[in-house]
Amino acid sequence: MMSEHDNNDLHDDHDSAGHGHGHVELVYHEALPINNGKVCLWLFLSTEIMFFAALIGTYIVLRFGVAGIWPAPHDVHVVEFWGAFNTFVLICSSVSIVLALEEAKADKAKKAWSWMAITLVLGCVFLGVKAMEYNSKFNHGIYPQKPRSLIYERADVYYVAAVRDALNDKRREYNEAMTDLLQGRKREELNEDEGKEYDQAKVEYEKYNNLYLAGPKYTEGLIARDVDARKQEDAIVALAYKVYPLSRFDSRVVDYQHREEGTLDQQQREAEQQLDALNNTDLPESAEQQKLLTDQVTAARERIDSVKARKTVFWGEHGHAEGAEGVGHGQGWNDQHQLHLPMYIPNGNMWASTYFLLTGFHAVHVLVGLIAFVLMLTIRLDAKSAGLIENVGLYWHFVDLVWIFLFPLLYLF
Amino acid sequence: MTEHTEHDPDHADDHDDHPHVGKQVFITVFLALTVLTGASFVIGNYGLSMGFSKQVTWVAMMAVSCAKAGLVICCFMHLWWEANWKWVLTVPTSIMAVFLVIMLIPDVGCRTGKYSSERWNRAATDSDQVQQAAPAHGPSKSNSDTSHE
Repeated sequence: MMSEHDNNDLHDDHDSAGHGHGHVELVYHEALPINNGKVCLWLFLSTEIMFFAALIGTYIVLRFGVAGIWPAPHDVHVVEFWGAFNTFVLICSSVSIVLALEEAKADKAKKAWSWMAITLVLGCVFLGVKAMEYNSKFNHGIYPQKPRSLIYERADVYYVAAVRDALNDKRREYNEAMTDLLQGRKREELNEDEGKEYDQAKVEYEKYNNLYLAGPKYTEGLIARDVDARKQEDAIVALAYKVYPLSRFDSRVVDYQHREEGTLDQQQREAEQQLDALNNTDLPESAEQQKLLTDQVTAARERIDSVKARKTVFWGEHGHAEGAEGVGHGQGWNDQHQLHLPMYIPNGNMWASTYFLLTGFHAVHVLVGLIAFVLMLTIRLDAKSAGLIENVGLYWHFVDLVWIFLFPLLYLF
Repeated sequence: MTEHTEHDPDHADDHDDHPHVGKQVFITVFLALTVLTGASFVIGNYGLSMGFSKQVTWVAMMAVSCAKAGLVICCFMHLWWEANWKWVLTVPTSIMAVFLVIMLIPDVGCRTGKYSSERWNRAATDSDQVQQAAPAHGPSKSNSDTSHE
């Protein structure tokens, strides 16, 4: 009965309010003492904070829980200066948008517009530097995923095979160029231009052939003969450091160099004796065995060549023992000969995934900010649009905030 | 957004409620941020040669970053001068963000602590690092297990 009575009361209230006869006045209370746009933006920023907290948190956990060594900045073409420069650019842009808001509040639309334009330019500078940084990584074969990425995380037989294939392609390219120029003729029969072209191709061919023989070919022969896993790995790491030296110095490589250099003369003698023995063998009668013999002779010749190249090209140019500080990628075949050979970078793929994910998401946020700035520049930035400027500014400060954490984590740790 | 700009005169009082922040405050904060950026750059690049351990430089750089973040949030984002509503959004978000990171630690961060020597051999890392790491992680665990038996 009571509830029925209550219901009646409610109905009465409702009716009177509905028909406007009662004395109930509805007063609107705002939930928060700020305008709706700002509430929405802060709610959005709250989700953004959690989004980037998850990304940065995962990076920290992956970075410090890594098995082994995280790549040093210089090994993956990260330049600290540009990170610091971009930080400074973003700080400047934060100040300029704050000043744009101040001018707008004071109803100075022109000054506000100028500061907004400056902010836009600074944001573009940031993205430009970012693009340049990405480009330098892409140019060196550092991508977040295969098939473009040249990063190998382990120095194993697959790595050697990949280096061998890449160099083989290169020397075959010039070999084919030479054959195409000759077209069955001899070098002397070519005209002047063709002759020049032929000689250039020959120089290139010999360069890559030497690298091929001294590097992967020798290493593969050594792996095939020597079953000691430790020695095999030392040889592969030595090759990897020749192709792309890490700035972290590896004493194993120098130890290995000293060990190997002592044995090279003997290896050459052995191979030459083997070749002599093969040359002195009587020619077998069956065609199959003849082929076998010629194959053996070719293999012995190649081995002599690869040992010789090993002495001159591999250890001759820049021995690993030069500096105890480590040499850095500038001294590697990749940088010296503008090659794109596979690189041995422990944990390089994990680094690339996290780096491109973090900086990529941040860059997308910057891009969205720039679009907002462009739209803002089309309207009159007076006191009426101060609320709008404030919201865009809040977003931009957040983008700056994320970079403040990304800069030390990605460039300096 | 456009709607709210139309209503802005109604809210004009909101802006007047805030104490007026002079431009020199922003310039000061800007200078502070620049100096702090330079500080973390110096710590990151020369910290090790100045004799600090890697961990010390990491903590120092993160402290600098937190200081910079504090300056940006309080001054540029105006939160220092906002009314109490600011806590409604920032506190729960911060708690969520911090807990998110903490919850990741056992899943991902401590995974190498449970690696067997077999797993270390398959880890994406140098063998010398494995040699150093293996006695500390994999084999020592199995050794202690067998000694208990």
